[in-house]
Amino acid sequence: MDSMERDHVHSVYSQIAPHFSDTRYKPWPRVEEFLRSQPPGSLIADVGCGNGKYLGLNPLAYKLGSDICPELVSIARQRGYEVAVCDCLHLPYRTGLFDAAICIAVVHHLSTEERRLAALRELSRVLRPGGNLLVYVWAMEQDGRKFDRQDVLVPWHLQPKYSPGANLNATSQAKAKMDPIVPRKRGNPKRRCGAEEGSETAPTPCCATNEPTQASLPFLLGSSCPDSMVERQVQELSPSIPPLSPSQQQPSLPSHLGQDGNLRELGYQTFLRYYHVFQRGELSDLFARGVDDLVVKEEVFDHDNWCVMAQKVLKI
Amino acid sequence: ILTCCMLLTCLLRMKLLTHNMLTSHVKGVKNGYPLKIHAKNVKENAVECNTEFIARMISKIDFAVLKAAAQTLGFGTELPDSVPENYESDEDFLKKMHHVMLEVELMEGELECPESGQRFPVSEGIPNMLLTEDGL
Repeated sequence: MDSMERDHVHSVYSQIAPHFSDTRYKPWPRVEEFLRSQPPGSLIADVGCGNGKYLGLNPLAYKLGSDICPELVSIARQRGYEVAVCDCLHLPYRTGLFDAAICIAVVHHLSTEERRLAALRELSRVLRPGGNLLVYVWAMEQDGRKFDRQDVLVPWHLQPKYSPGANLNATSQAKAKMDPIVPRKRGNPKRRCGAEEGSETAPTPCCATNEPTQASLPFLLGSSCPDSMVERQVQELSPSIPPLSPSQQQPSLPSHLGQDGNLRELGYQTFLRYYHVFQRGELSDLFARGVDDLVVKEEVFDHDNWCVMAQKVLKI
Repeated sequence: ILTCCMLLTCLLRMKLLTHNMLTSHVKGVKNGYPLKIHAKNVKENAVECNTEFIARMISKIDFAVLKAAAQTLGFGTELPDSVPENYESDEDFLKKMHHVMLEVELMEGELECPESGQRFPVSEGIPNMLLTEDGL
């Protein structure tokens, strides 16, 4: 068991699952298009499916989701999807079965190159000859920020209402309807983000706004949030999602509450998630060097991620 | 803490079509397929039938394994011994396959590796296929 992944991936997602799930609801267009383009009767694997965000997108395909986080798998299961708990390095699927597979925002959580390669090889194994694969990993060179190194710990500030002691008398989904969490808008000023490994302190708060806030309310609700108000929570560092329409509610933390100490006073808990962020070409290179049966078709930059589309070779 | 389990009508089960795809990946095992089903709770759940979808899935499954798994759970006796010649147009056969593949569901139980004997629990319809330290 890899201890970096155990402490800074698995246990974090287990603890933040309902909050994390509530922020994962809008499918990325390229992924959606990939899924919808698979013909009826296709067998598709979603490796690292999380809360099942992509499992409902092509009703005429049979989709199997898997994730190592039982709490997220449970959320996906409650939405009616076929899901299993497993390790992406040991997929419980027969060899050569799937017409297509997606692996979104997973491989960057593996702490060594050897493990990242092993994951890609497993994805290759379960695809049939000619099958298609889509992999997304965080890019080191993002639109809004630059990481100063490739192996980083990225904070997640768990809102008080999601913490274990909170009075949760509504389902996670009901909460999402009442109080949606909106990811950051595009066009945020460039900022440097990174963290010392093992550091207790969150990196310098990345989001700045000059707007005055209602000091008594930790959240600003309603549709009248000014455009210059920037989503405060550092989970904006997560893969960015296209901005939502102004009519959608937008709770966010006012800037003066940005310091870690203030967040703690408000009942926020900060978790650090491990990422290996990828440089341009690095993911394609991994395929080329270590995954014989997959041919990279293209590598594109999408939503602050490197996205690779690959195809399993046809046997002669 | 998922109190929502009690509040929602949860669809928590694993289909036989899914079982058909799963295999044991315990280290050293040469053939971990198919997994033996030890069922504690099985339900039938009505699912809308799309015969074109069923016909396409039939080409991907192991029919013998599906039939045997269904029979383990007390279903599938009405299935023929093998897939008929022109199954794509055999409505009766397609409907029977739909029932067995998508409407019979394992809620609670265990899946056992046929070679190593390692058991993987199924709880609320979710198989936990994580390997123990021994199986890695």
